[in-house]
Amino acid sequence: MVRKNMIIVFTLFLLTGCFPSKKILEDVQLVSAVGYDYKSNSQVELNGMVAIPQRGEDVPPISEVFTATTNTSKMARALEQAESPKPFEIGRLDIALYNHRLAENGIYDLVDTLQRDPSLGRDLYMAIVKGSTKTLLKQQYPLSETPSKYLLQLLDQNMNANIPKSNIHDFLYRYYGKGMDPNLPLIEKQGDRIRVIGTALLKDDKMVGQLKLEDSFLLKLLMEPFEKGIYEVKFKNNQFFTIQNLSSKVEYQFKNVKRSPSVDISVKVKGRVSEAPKIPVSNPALIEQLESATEKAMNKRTNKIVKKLQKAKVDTIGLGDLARSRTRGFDFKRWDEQYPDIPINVKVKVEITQAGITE
Amino acid sequence: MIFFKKKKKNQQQEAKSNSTKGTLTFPELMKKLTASADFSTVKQTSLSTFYISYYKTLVNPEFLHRDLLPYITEMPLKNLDDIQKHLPLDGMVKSNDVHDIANKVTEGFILIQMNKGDPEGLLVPSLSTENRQISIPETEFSVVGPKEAFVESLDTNLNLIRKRLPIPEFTVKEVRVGKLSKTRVAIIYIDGIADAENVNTAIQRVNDIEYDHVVDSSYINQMISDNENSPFPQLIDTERPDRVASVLSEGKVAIMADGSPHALTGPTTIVEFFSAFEDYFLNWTLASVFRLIRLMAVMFSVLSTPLYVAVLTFHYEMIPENLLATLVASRNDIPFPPILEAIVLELSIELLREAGARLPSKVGQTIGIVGGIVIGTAAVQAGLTSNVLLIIVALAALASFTTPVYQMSNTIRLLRFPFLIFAQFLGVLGVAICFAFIVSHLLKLTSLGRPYIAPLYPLRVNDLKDALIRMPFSVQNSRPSSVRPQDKAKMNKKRAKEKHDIED
Repeated sequence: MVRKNMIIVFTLFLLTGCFPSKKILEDVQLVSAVGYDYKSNSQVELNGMVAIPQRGEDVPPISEVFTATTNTSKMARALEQAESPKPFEIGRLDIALYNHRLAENGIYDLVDTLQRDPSLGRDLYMAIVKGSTKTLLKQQYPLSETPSKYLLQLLDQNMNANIPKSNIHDFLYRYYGKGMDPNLPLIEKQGDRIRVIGTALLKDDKMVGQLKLEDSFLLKLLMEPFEKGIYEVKFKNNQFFTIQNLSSKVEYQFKNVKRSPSVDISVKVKGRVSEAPKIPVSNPALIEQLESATEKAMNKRTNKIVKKLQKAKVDTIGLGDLARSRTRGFDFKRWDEQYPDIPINVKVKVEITQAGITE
Repeated sequence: MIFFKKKKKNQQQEAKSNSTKGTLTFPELMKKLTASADFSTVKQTSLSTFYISYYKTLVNPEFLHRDLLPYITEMPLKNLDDIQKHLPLDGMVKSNDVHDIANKVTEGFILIQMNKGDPEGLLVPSLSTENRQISIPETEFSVVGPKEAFVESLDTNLNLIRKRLPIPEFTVKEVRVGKLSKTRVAIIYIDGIADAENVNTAIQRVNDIEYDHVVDSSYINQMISDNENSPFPQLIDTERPDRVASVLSEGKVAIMADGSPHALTGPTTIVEFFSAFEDYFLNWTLASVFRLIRLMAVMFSVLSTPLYVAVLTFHYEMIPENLLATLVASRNDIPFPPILEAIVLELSIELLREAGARLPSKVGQTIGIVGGIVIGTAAVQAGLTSNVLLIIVALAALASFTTPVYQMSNTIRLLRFPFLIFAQFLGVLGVAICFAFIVSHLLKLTSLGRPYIAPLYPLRVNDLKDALIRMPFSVQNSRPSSVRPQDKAKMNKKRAKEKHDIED
């Protein structure tokens, strides 16, 4: 018995080589944002932003950008490693940025390396940048400690209100899934601010078009229920009012999918008049007029957006997938062929529930 | 191996020779006794002649001079029977057994003989007991409720319990334990409620104790525990007579030793260690919340530092975004890896606690403040530890003291060290493995032969109403089934639920 126990204890010593390698927090360089820039058709410039915490309690961290140009992004990391005092770890990556020229050529190969990394979470934000990601990441912004934190909060906040939700999980889901196409937020550096300028529409992994911010809100209405966002409507001549979305709901109806399909999308918006200069909103008769004006404006615009999607042959809303889920023996090939010409009819119904506490 | 066997044989032989040594003659005994300076033999010659022998330091002198001597000196008495008849005292024994006499005299009896060499004598009990006053419970203090705590005298302690359970079924079995100390050990239970098997197990285990001196009930606790290598205490030790009384009424067994102000109760389950007796003095909602807080405190105390080490060494991905900068900033200048930092801090907290426990209470407080505040801030400023870990360690130490049973809080303090080592080697996976080890150990553990984590596994849904939470008294209608009480019902369920409104 004693001998047996001794043997067990000694074999444990032989296992000391089997322990996992340590990555002690302060001994690694955490990359918090990466940006990919277009160099040439085969070469990509990788910009990794790291936040280096400073001594002391109230001193904000300094952000640094490491840059390297290669054919594969992992090799670029190896090159950047050559000038970093600590090994890079991308487990705390908050955001991946892609230059829009790069996006037009396809970004899947660059996303794939992130997708394969087990240390990365699935809630990583992705965005497409108009202009160089390097200059965007190198800038110090007065609004936030580091560019990565700024971007994270910016996208987080905007995805609640203005633009469709999208992270690496959604991107890959829509990339791999049939009958739907991914979308990514489109951002731009403007002076010492970063601005969400709209939504980039992707066909597979290639950017083929974009929507501006106001249209992104309407696209969001068509895609998911949500509870924020503001839309401006023109009411009669030179009078404008804004509607604040309190809750929106979207329903799809497919007709005759197998032969000549048509789609009805009905959106219900419950809203609040948040600003209406020169319009006496407490008048109930007027409210109805406001409602119909909003409906009219939204209908017009959303139908335009849908047309635009159809023209670009991108199914950002995922209608193909929705149709598939409701149809037995659904044929993707046929649907893809028909998609640009399918009559898609959007109907927005607006209900103004209140006009603020002064009511 | 052969060497060990030989040694065992030798021990057996020794033990045998010890037990056969017992033939003693009366003159030999007297010679042994008189060798002690405090043993005295007095010749009384008044109307008749006696020899009175006793230990001056053991018998009550007041009793001797007031209650004994006047009776036997003022009457003509011929033999021991005469004395026994005339003395208005109880507990007198006439004996000619040398061993019996030897035992009784060393316990505080007075030996009366007609002639000096007589092998026969009358033994009169006259033990003087120096007793501490009954005081307030210190380790299990409660703000409301009774404020009596056990003292060092078994008889006083039994009195404290018996007056709370004035029923004939309240049974005390007495056993003497320890070759030298001959400690009186009482096994207490309520006949008709307590399971006979539990009682027999307790009695048998106490009887089987083979040791020279048993000073305290904690000796017995260790000697009769089911697994003496386990860090978990398998019997609750308490200084509250009210707690013992209530535990007895649940059908459990209590063990008390003379000279010890603590009672042991069993069979016990792990959830009992986290229930303070004060829980029963509070409204059930409050008591339940406090119990849950205590349970969380235990988890926090055991797991917080190991998780800190695991996350900082292996899983930086797990750290929340907003905490990252704080953690890195506080860790940046520290020369040690997280594990050394954690062990050093944990050990220094243990150091403080040990120093505080050994020092007189007034000095101990000062040391605690000096240690906690001065050394803590100094260590952070010197860059030896991060202030985040300092907070975690201090909170974990605090949390470990919320456990109402002192022995369990010791166990919890010790338990985090294996967790720390596992966390260092395998990260969170290591913490999970260590947890699995602990759980499997607990599953195997028994208390007086009954499962240790009983209401949880084996699941006893009925017992859960007084386990992690405490349900109101009106629902507590049955005794815990894990102790197999003979009488399961505490009360009439129906009558307890009725509302007794006052009507005119």
